[in-house]
Amino acid sequence: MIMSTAASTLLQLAGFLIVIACAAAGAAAILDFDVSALAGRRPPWRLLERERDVAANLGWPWHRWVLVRLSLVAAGVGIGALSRIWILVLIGALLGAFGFRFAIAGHAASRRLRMERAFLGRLRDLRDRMAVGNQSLDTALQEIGRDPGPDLQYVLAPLAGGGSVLDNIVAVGLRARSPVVEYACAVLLWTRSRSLDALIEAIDDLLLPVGTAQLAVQEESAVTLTQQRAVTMAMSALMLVMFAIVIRVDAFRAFYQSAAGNVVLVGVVMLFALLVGLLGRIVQVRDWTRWDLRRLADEQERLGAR
Amino acid sequence: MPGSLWLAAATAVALVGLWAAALSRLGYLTSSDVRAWRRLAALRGLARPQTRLERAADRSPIVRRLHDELDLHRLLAVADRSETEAAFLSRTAFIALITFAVVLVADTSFRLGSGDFAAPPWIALVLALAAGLARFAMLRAAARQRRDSADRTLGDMMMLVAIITDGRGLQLDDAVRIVARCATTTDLSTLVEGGWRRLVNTAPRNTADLYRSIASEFRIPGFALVADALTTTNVGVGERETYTRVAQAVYQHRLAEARMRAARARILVTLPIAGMLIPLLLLLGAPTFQSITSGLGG
Repeated sequence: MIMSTAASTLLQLAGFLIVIACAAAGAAAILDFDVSALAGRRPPWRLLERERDVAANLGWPWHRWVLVRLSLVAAGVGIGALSRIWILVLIGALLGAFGFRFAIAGHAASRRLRMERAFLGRLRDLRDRMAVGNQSLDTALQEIGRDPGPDLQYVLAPLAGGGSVLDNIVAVGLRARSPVVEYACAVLLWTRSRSLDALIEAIDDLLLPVGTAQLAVQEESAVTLTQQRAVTMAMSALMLVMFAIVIRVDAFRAFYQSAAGNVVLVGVVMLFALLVGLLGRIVQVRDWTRWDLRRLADEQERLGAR
Repeated sequence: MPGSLWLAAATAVALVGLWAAALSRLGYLTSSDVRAWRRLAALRGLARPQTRLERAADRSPIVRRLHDELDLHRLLAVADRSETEAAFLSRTAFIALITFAVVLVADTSFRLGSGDFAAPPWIALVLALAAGLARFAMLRAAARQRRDSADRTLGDMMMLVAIITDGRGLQLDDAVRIVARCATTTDLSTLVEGGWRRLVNTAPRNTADLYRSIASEFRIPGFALVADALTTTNVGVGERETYTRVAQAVYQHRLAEARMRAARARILVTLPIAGMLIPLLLLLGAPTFQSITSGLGG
């Protein structure tokens, strides 16, 4: 009897689904609907590029970054499974994936700021070598590359070696993964075959003052962001501790193992994530345009600059 | 129950009718040829004179703003979407229909299983409407994002343009096209490589004229700034000095804006921080509340 009722319910449901599917397909045909147009236009690799930026700003190789993230996701899933509250498996995975990135993003940003500040110092040095020391751009770049300082050791390493200066400048931009450095490299690429006066003027009038002011704004925002990040971390830790205490009580544990408890947990996590996202959006500093330096170099060569 | 069903159906029909009437009134259901002819007729004085109400609506900033915000043709062009207005509307209708069907199926399945709806069936209609509105909101966000990105790229390239036009003797539009291709986003390059034709219908007399038209039609102020600078170079001022000054002006404006945002952020961040108490209270309060209510229930 029960079986026949279940079969009848299933049949009704299947019939209903078929009618809806046919109606949707009919509507799609009438409206000439292209399903592929639903796919987002934003290139999917942009998110990957952001991840690469964070890894580079930390000074980590890409494979280490991926490995650490995957390990943390696995750890989050493992801890969630141990708790026997199944929604925590999903929450643990999300925490492993995004919590670590959030926690470390401040350090990555301050490291990048330090590198950019050091780069502007080197740019001033380059200007002085050309304006006061009468060095050519290629020589000045090579000498700076030999003594880059601790913050720029990895970024300026290509300049120390021989080979094409054009390729070396492109390599510096690619290693830095910073809009400020990329912009300076783009200006260097286009001015290196012209008079030194034009380059010195560009450094004096634009690159140094604007770069310094941009860094000042970033530093100001970084201070606010660091304070708020600390509060967020403290709040997250407090929530975790409170939750760990709460689920030691049997009645509360039973609640969080029920469907209603799972809904509350999902709601709490979503609300918290929304507030953290909002915080990041409020303090966000607009970056400069990112340039494809390889393409800029190619265009420059195409115009016969070499 | 049947009475409320009839009421819901009548409301739905009335809403759809209102929506169709609004679209028709705003001209979205009229072919572009007819609209072009009407515009031409209006220019030649052949169109019927506007009524008092229309004239008042034209003068009203709120109505003008609303028209701008809902101008699908402009939004699609600025967001660089290749679809036509009709295609966009039909896709939106399709998505709303799918949402309606999926929610209704889920709700009905729940009823078949447990004997009652999980949520009232009108939720399906509300969600379908929300899906349609979300698509409009996403289109507007895409248009705004492309506008900002193109403006930012144009401002950032001015120093490079100064170098290229001065050193290589290239024309401004060629220099802008070349450098725009080298940005990692294609928002500006697609616009200057011919994307402007979607909103600028008249053939521009020169580059300054074209850039002013782009600034006005696509609402990208950077183009107006560059057009003014180009006019300055035509009377003999050096290109390098002029475009370097444009770059400086762009950055000064941007930095002033960034400082203002940073100052505002210091106050605004307290809101989400205070809001973080809510999930904490929910986490502790929900099981307590449940225990109390189940205790009172016996």
